[in-house]
Amino acid sequence: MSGDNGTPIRPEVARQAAHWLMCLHDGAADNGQRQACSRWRAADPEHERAWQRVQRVQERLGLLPRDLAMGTLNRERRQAMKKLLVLAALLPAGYLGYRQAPWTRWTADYQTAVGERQHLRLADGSLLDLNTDTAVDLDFSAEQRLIRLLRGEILVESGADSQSPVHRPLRVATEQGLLQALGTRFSVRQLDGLTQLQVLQGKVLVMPRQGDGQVVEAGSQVRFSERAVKKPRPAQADSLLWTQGQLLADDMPLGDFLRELGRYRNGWLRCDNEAARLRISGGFQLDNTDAILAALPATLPVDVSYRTRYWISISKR
Amino acid sequence: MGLLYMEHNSWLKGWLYRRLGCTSQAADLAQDTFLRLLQAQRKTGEALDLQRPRAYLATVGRRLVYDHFRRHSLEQAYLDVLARLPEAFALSAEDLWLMRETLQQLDALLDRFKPMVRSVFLLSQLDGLTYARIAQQLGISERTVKRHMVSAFEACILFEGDLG
Repeated sequence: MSGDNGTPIRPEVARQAAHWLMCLHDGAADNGQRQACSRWRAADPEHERAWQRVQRVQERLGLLPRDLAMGTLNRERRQAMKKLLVLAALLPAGYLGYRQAPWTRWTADYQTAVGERQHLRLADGSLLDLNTDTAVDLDFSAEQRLIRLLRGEILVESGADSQSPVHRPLRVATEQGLLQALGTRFSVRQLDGLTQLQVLQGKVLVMPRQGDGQVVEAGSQVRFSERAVKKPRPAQADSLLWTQGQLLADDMPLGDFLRELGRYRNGWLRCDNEAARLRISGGFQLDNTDAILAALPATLPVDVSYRTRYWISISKR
Repeated sequence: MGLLYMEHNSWLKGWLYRRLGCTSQAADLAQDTFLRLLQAQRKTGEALDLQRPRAYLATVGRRLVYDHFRRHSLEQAYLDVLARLPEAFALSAEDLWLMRETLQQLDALLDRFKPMVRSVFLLSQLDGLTYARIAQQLGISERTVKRHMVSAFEACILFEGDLG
């Protein structure tokens, strides 16, 4: 590594170097640009070091036969990792997790696959239900009982924690903030950019990362972002029937119903706008979503077409 | 550190075993985990925050488990491709070893790229395609290709891992 003393390169220098490299690799760069780039490189040893780091990567790539490099470095990583983890066999199924840190996705403490559910009793006596496609990490210490919701939806019933000499608050961390149980039963769902909280018993203190905290009472549900808690609405106890493997629809738009059903099965589930406005009612068993779809045309004026088992579209008849 | 090791080594081994399904690999990675902590301690010159040692160990352990699986998946892809390459038979044992080392180094770097950025970067660097051709092949705009190239180069520069 000639000339690289290993000191980290400042982000702004890296950014500039990356821009120059991108321009020069285009092939469309003219002489003027090439000279300007040479001047930039010579202006500061740190610029040159940044440049050399990319050269090093390119040299390494050049050592490999093209097909070998492409076939290995550009492999489908998630699938490959999934397979290996399944081979390890001792893990609970389901490996989706955290957006920012890819490895947490594969190594969460507890996870469920799409269509799977899990009921757990934790060391402190708390009960934890994991809905479909959910991942959590547990981090219990002397000061707190922390559940990190990495993905999906959980129902928490806080236990007495009688083993602990001091009171340890029970908390749930999501992407948007922290929830603290005040003696209670509540559900938390990680949505895209929002957290949804539903309080069934007791109270929960909501603390968004950057906004003001707020106490949410039993019988209410709220959504919150990193900055603010939205207006509370009445809780819907029906929406927790997933713990018993059921989905209850009461005059629900078909579009919403299918979106909900889609959480419990792999693949694409699409419907056209007209079909989406139809209304559906009934109790459904989530363990067999295929059967629910197959039965739709019997109760609603729709056609269900299967392009493959995983690609299903529904249209108004 | 000695105390930390004595108190938590068997817990950590159990934790890793549940994820790896193999006792000897779990023992190896447990060693690596403690080694990482030692190095981190030496680098900062400060004692580690031992308020929650298990959370700390689990964080490092998670990273190592992920790396372990990543290396393993690379190894499999490598063997698959080699089996299909006729010229592989002409390579010496030393060449093969060098290629494997090189691949491992590059793989750690490229693992930080988003899948699309990785494809763009490799098509440009391995196949020498123009940005316009890459855009066409991947069905994205040329501007996006350029943006991805910048972020790929940037990641190469900021990568602090071992590139020999």
